[in-house]
Amino acid sequence: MAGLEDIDDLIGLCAGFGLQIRGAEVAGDVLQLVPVTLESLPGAAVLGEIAEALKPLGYRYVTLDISSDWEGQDA
Amino acid sequence: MHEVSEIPVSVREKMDAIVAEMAGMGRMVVAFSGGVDSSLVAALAYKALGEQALAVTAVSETLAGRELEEAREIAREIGIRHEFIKFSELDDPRFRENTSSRCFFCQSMRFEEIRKIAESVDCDVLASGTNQSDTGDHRPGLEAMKIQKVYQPLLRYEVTKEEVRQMARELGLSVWSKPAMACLSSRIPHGLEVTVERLRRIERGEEVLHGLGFVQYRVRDHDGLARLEIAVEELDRALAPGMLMQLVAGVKAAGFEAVCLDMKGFRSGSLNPVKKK
Repeated sequence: MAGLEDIDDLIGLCAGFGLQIRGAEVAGDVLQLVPVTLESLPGAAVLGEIAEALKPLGYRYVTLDISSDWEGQDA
Repeated sequence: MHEVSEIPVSVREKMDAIVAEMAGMGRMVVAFSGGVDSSLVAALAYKALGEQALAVTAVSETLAGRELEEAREIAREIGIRHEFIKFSELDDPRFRENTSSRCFFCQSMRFEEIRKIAESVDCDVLASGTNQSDTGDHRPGLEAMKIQKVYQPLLRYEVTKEEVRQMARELGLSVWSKPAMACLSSRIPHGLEVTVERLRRIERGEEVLHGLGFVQYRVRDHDGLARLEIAVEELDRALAPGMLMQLVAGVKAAGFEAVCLDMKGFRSGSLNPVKKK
């Protein structure tokens, strides 16, 4: 399984698809991308493309962390 | 019943052949979950055998409460006699251990329990709703049914899932389009113990999604991290900020520590072992 040594590359790749993330976390097989905000996330089709683009990292599940930092946001 | 068939002739022929075969079998007990597959088999058995057919729902911790109620309703709709039998897969440590053979132990216990009811009514034919589309995935439960000599008419006549739905619709079954739900333990990755606590928080979490109007979804339990799988066609609705907040609040209240959203959406059997190429 590839590591996440270069988080900047990951942030850059996601930004290229229109997804702004501030980091990523790993829990077993699950890669969680941590979005900067839950507002204005890309649509389902683009998220699927990002997950596909991240396949070489070797994580079985590519996900969005939606619970760590949403409190206090004006959604 | 419709006057004019709207299903392909080949599908109707399969359905007629199954009914004809069942008619010569005497008494039959159908393992009945209330899903579309077992509902179809129950309806065909009732059509062929009338009061000689009995639907039995095995009730355990892995069956969501709402599924139980729906099973009761659909049996009433079909008209078939219906009984419940309680058991607990969690009594078997091999099931709790949650290896890739988990479904084998579960189905073995399930059919042993259903057989008890069958024997009490002098019946030796147990039927299930296994269909042709079930054979392409990792399904150790099928091996258990083979050992138990379970009659699988849909498999025997190579009825696919799509054909199951066509037949069910033709017979006027309200569940013809019901999404597959599967047992709640299928939401727990292999290697992580199946416990009552995990099963109940999964059930509560999925009730949240149901309550928010989602149709096809799973709450996968990665040891306290809920990974939500929602059908791709419903994912855009989930991504609205207000909806995300409701999902998180509800799923956390169900007992999860954290929540993430799978970016590929719902995939049936996504926790199954990966086939080696």
